[in-house]
This record gives sequence, C-alpha cells and structure tokens, in this order.
Amino acid sequence: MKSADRPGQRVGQLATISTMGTVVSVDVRTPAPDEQFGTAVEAMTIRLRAIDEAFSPWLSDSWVSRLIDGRVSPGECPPEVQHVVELSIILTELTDGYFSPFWRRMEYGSPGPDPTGLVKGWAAQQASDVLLSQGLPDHVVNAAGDLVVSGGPGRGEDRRTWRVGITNPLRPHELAGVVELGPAAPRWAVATSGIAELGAHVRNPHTGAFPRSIGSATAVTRLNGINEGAATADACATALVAAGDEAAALVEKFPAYGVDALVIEVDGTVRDPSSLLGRA
Amino acid sequence: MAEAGTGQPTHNGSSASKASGAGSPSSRSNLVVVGKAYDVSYGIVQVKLTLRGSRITDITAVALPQGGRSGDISRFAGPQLRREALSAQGAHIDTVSGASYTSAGYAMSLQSALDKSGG
Repeated sequence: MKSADRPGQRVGQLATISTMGTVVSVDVRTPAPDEQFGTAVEAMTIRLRAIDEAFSPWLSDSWVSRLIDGRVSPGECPPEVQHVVELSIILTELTDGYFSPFWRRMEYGSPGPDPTGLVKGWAAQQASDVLLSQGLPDHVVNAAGDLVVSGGPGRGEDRRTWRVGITNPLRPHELAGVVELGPAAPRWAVATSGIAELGAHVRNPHTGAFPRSIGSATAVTRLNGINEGAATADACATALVAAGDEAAALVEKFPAYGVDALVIEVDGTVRDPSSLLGRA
Repeated sequence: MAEAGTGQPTHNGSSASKASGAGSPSSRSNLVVVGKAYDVSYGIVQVKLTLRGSRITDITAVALPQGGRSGDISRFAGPQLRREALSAQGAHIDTVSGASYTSAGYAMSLQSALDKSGG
C-alpha cells in the first residue's frame, strides 16, 4: 500500500529500448511529467535505432557492414560514421593496439575497419545527449553494462553520488564491488568487458589469440563538455580483456589519458590502481 | 531472427488476483508475463517476467539453448541479465556494469514481456 515510501523503491522513471541486439535501459531521476519523459524516450529510441541501422555489423547493408567487406571506403560514409571510425583508430594508439578496428583482417581477411567494439558505449553517450537536450539532466543510460550517468541520482538527502555495481565475473550472481561517481564531473561513463558470458570472444589483435586470463575489465571516464569518453571507456575495457597477461601493465598507463580502469583476473586477482572499486 | 511462438500473459492468481489490489498501483498480487519465444541460431530463447505493480520481482528463462557454448550462454546470460534488472531496483546501487551477453533473442523476449505487462 505504501510501497512508494519503502526504502529501496525507486523514484526514477524507467524505460527499456530493444535495439542493437540488446536492451538499453533508461532511468531518469529528474522529476518530469510522464509526457516529457515519454517524448524524451521516443526521441532516444529514434536516435538509437538510427545508430543501429548505420553501425550494426549484423545488418548486411549497414554502413559498417559495407565498410568491413570493402564495399565502401571510410570517405564515402556519412560524417558520423567517419567520425566513429577515426575514433576507433585513435583509440588503437591509446590502447597499444589491443583495441583495433582491424582485428578482422587476421581471421577473415576483411579489408575495412570495424568500430563495433566501441559503438555500444558511444551510443550510450549519444542517448544521454538526447536526454540532456530534452531537459532531463539526471539519468542513467545503460546499454547492457556500458553506461553513462549524468547529474545526480537524487533521493535521500538529494544524493549526488551514483553507485554503480560491478558484476563479479567469477560469480555472476554477485557484485565484485561498487564504483562511486560524484559531482566532480557532470557525466561519467563506465564500461565493462569480459569473458564471463560470451566466453573468450575478444581477440588479441597482435597475436590472434583469445586471452582467457581476464575475467572482466572496467573503465571509467569523465565526460566534460565535448569529448568521446564513453567510446573511450568501451574501447579501453575491451583492450584490457584482449591484452590478457599484458593487462596489468596497460591498466597502469590509462590514467595518463584520463581513463581509470580495473581488471579482475580469472584467479580472483583485482588490479585497481585508481582505487575505483569500493565495497558493495 | 524468427519468432518461434507467441507467449500469453498470465496472472498467477487469475483475473481475481489483479482485482485484489482494489485499483491500487501497488497491488500485492503478482503479474506473471511470458515473453515471446525467439528462435536464435543456437536455440529458442524465452523469458518469464514477474511483476508486483510496476516493479519487476523476478525474471526467469522459460527456454534457453543448451549444450556446448550455448550452454555457457544459458548459464551466464540468464542470471546476469536477471541480476542486472533486479539489482538495479535495490536501494544500494543505482545501476550495474558487467560483461554483457548481447542476445537479441533474450532481449526481445524480455521486451515483449515488458510490453505485455504494460510496464
């Protein structure tokens, strides 16, 4: 009867959007009339579906599918696709080549770039942009584990710090810990990659091997003004999984680029040089 | 991706259970909704959603692929997505980040269940 007042009852408005082969969930904490929320979700859905049409490697006529098999060159693609491809190439350098849009060349001989590894994170930030433009600054957009938090969660003394649970890759029913993200940045991106669910599906672009030593890797970036922090976090998390035994060294290099990350190895070792992970 | 069948929404206490809430959105009765079954390349995926009012209280897989790599997907993807949806409703965390299994079949079945629930 009084469930709305019970601790733990959420006050945000929730929606889920089925797109990009997964579910993107939206949790808006800015108090808003149903109509405003509905309009914002509709705008976000249109945006995400358009991204999927352009970027899905599973749709044979998407721009990315045509890029991958060489039917088009990057220069023939729409500016937004060019931008994301350029981003994926920049991030190859930042990750010592452990994230690469050219990983397909080794296995399939596909000539073109495939930025898929960072599109989910990038899309989460695009979706968050839509919510900002719709006057809903406090929200989470979670694209199956790659997420953007914006503003504050509110509730309980107007809480300003988001608590993001990080799944334990060794025991998927549990959390490994919680990452707290406060008002030091207007928005934050968190991305996690790992082998827990798809198995060892991330290939080391240098060797072609599928490293199995990293259970999961989580990367966190601040989104300040115009940057591509969510795509960066997504690429860095993927790179750490691909790096396998080299991840311990790579995770130490990321803070210089504004990326904080942690890895959980399959033997339970946690490497968390930025002390991101707090207790659940 | 083929849609393998159409699940039907069911109330665990039949239509009477819904009436027991006397119009309150926080009705104590559970609404059980079975999503559509989707034929993915490695088997059939179908989920069942339990709601109390508009709150999701449980998500279970009615059908998931078995065997080999698909078996692994079932073992991990089911609990993971369940965990994510459930724990995000808790008091102590706002959201969850974890290695995702992006399953169009799972997602679409879940979404169809959510659609049927009216939530």
